[in-house]
Amino acid sequence: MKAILDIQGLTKTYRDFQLGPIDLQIPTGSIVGFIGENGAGKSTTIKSIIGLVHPEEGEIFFEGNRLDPKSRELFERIGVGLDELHLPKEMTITQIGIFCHKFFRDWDPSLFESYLRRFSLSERKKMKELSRGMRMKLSLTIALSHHPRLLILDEATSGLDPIVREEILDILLEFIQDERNSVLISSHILSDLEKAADYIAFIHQGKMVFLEEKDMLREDYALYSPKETERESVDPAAIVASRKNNFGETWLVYRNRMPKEWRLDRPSIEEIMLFYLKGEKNESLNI
Amino acid sequence: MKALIYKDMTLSWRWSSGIFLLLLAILIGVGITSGIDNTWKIVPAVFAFHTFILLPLTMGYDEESSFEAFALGNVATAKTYVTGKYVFAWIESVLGLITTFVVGAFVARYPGSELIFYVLSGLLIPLLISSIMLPPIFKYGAEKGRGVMAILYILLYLSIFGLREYLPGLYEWLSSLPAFPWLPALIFLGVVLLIHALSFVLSVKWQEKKEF
Repeated sequence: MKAILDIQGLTKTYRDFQLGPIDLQIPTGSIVGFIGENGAGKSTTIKSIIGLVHPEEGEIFFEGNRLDPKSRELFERIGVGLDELHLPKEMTITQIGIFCHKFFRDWDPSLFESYLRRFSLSERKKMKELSRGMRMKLSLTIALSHHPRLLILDEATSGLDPIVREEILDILLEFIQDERNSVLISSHILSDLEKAADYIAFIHQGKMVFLEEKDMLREDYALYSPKETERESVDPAAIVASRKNNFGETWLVYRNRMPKEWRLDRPSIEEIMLFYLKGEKNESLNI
Repeated sequence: MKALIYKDMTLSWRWSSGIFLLLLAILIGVGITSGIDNTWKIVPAVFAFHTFILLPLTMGYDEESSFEAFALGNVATAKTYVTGKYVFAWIESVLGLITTFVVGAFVARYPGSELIFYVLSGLLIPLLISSIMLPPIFKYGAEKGRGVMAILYILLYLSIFGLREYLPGLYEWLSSLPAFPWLPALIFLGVVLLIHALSFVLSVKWQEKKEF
């Protein structure tokens, strides 16, 4: 698996939170969904990649080249979309286009205008006149219009209605049609990632839990609600975590360790995440 | 950096034009009451005051929108961002130099040997103001930085006020130097440029440490 972005040993310490060490590789030509609960370290990881936060340890490589915050040359090929578009509210979209033309070396004005038309964004509008959905569309437009190889989006679809989110996901899927392009997107809206992501990276309490192919994840894991009589016949190592509810108990299990004849349910990404976060974990698995 | 200067000019041109017109009106008023001989000498102060208002204004716009997160999360370095603000100050200073020279030499027709101090003031006073103003704003932000800056200016004013009895003696000493006024002018230029350079280094250092 060739990685467009390779994070090695990333560590950042705050007073009451430790991120890392994080090792994460973003495969070329893929969309990686970055998930985790609030405060897990998603934004800190992303900000460390783009240089808004200074990690104590670790190295980050983009296309094999080490990213250095003091030399932003490589960032010409990285498009960034944060949870808010941090441009002055008095600037019009036209002025933002002129600014970006001077700011980015490979800025493509015709591509910028085509995205503005696609998103129905009026060039005369000022930033302060744009709704949140419009600002996120503009953020994505800017990120895409300097021909990046990697898009990094941090909660860029949060707070948006389903129609806007669908538009954005379509754009991301088009973006990776060029197999050299990749996307790293953090989101709490797991249904979006179910649709679009190729890989899921799960972070919990500052540590990477897994990076797996989305389809394999849903194949590797399963849900099962056992009867009392069935508990003894299950390999304990098959049970990742369990959750009790009013109707009994449900297990998140490794599919290949369960009896083949048992009817197991396919979990969603959200269910897998909830079991990791809220379930009673199998301590022997050291998850 | 061109992009950053374009952004600052785009955001501040209304305020900039308004302030210039106001200052021009004050100049005209002073000129009418006091004559051109005294009026043209306060042209450097016009550009100094303009710098004093405009630089915190542009920093305030950036802080309001967290623009640094956009710039430094994309292709701008901390050094580029800081340089953009200092270049803005240099633009003010060069305009101040040119304007003071044109008005002093061709309108007031002031003799060259004394003209040099006023022309240099047109260049160096805005530079000095930006040198004092920018580091606290980079360190503490536009709001708190203005407070620190105000304290620095008060201290500077009190120092000059406290030393005022020595100023005639200082002028006499400067006049006695060889190659007056050129040597004292060069000393003045050198000191301000040194302060400016130190200010720039400090601003870059503090900006590089920031996290968003």
